[in-house]
This record gives sequence, C-alpha cells and structure tokens, in this order.
Amino acid sequence: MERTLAAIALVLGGLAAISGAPQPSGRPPGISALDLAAAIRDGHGGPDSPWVMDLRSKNEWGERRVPSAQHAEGPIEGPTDHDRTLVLYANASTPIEATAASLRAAGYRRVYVLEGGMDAWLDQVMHPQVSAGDDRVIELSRYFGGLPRARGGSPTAVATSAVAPARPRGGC
Amino acid sequence: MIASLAMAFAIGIAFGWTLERAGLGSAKKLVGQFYLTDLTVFKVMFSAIATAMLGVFWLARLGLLDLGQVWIPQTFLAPQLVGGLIFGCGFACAGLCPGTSCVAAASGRGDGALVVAGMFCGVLATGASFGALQTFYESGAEGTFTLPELLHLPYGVVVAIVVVVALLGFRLAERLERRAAAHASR
Repeated sequence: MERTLAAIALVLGGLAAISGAPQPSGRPPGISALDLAAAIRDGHGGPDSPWVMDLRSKNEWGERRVPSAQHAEGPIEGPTDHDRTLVLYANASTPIEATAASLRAAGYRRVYVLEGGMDAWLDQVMHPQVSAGDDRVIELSRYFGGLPRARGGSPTAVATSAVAPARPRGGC
Repeated sequence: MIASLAMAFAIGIAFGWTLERAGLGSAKKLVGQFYLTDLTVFKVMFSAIATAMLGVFWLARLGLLDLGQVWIPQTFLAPQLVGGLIFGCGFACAGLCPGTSCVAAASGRGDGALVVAGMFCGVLATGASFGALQTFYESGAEGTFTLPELLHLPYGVVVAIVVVVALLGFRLAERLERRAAAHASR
C-alpha cells in the first residue's frame, strides 16, 4: 500500500515537472507594452504613473528593465495609494499570479501583468518594427531611447517620419 | 456564509478524525518526534503537504482550481519568529499542538483538555494586550514568498522536487525509528 502511494506520488510529481505551469482562470488582466509605455510617459513619475514591479532576479533587473520598475524579488512593498495602477512582469517560470493575488488581497484593485514581459517591452517599445502611420509607436519608442525599424528595413528608414523629435531617454 | 461555515466544520471534523486515526491525539506519540523515536508527526504532516500540493497543482493544471484565488500568507519575520518560539515551547512542554490538543480533549484525555484551556487563556491574554503588541505584530512585513519564486524554478519542477524530498524523508524517518526501536530493545 505504502509503495503504491509512493509510486503514485512519484508519477504525479514527475508529470508535474513536464506538464507546464497551471493557467489560472483568474489571471490578472494584462496591459500591452505600448499602453504601459504611454502610461509611464503620461504619468511623468507622479501619482498617476503606474507602479511597475519587476519580479525577475536582481541581476536581470540590473541588466535591463522597464523604466521606473522596482525590483520586487522577495519583499513586496506596494505604494501607499491602493488605487494606484500596479504593473507586474516576470520570467515565464515565475508564478506571477501568486504575487498578483497577494497584492489584490492586500487591497490593490488595479493590478495588471505586462503582456509578454520584458521581451514584449524590448520588441514593441525599444526595437519596434513600424510602418508608415505608426507615429504613436515611433514617438513612444524614441521617448524611451528606442530604435524603431521600418518593417524589413533599417532604423534609418523611419528617421524621416513626421513625428515629434526624439526626447531624452527615460532611463531604460 | 452558512455554507462556508458548514464546509469548514466538515473539513475540521475530517481533519480531527485523521489526526486521531494517525495516533496524534497522544502526547507520548508526539513527544517521540523530539527524541527521534517516533516520527509519526513528520510522516503524517509531510504526507498531507505532498498530497495537498499535488492536488492543488493538478486541479489548477486541469482548470478546476483558480490559483489566483489562493491566499498566500505574508511573512512578518520577527513576529513570526517570536510566535514560532512560543508555539515550540508550548508544544515541547505540553506534548500537544493546537489541533492535536483538540483531538486529545475530544477523545477524553485530561492533558488535552488542559492544553485547550491554556490555549484559550493565551488567546484571551493576547487579545487583551493587543494594543501594546500591535506595533510589533505588524512589523517586519516581507511580502509573500513561494518556493518557485525563491528557487527561480518552474512550479512543476518544485512540485517534483518536494515529492522526492518527502519520499526520501519518509525512508530516513523509517530508518531512524528502526534504529531507535533496536536501541530500546537492547
């Protein structure tokens, strides 16, 4: 009997290791990298700007991060204003839902997850591929010191786009 | 609300029945844990942890449980360290913890009833002096921790590791118990 139970536990544990992470239906709502970029830019670091939390390792946070993102690997300290928008991002292996659930349980009502994480930030904001008319993307990318590229072309291909001049880096 | 209370009552009865069937209503059996002569507590509790962990993982994986709704208690380092020490002292002195003392009392053991009475006195004293304790009670908030976050490993891999550790732990516990029994029979 004991051996049977041990074997069942081993099989279920082994399958867990290769079955991938559970996908909770109550996953917090997502926010796209571009919407986050716009919210950071428009908030100017004030109380209306989102409180961004990077749940990756300290090294990864040190290498590159979303501007204004605070490292929150262990202790999670949210803002005093519980109505402020919180945006979390992490690695694929990090169960971000647990942190989001804890923050919601702590009274934060506007908790979002950055869709696609850091990769989406790099692809959509720092190195976006743009077409004619993507002025919003180009403007946001340049605001954060990014390098928009024309679809299938070089960075210089969008240099003549009629958008506002590049602004200083946002600290990415 | 009534449904939640009814469910909590049913789960509590099942929990108590399981503890009693495992022999954990006996202080003698529980104290054996501290002398490494009877590791039933370790085996029962780690079995429960492994079973619940596999259940939560697979129910969530199959879409039957929403992990986003699972409450993870926050860590308050110093208050929980002090609370743990008080709990440990009480456990070692009485030979019973809160759950097992209720089981012992319900099965007619006098020591269990005394521990339950002491426990309620402690709760009352804490409540009465909460104003003075509140600052310490709320100090040192460290947020929530989960093993996958701390170890930077996928959730499923951590589940597999805990299962293996549990099975190795059971094997070691059995060995220690056999050694203690052989030593006692000499």
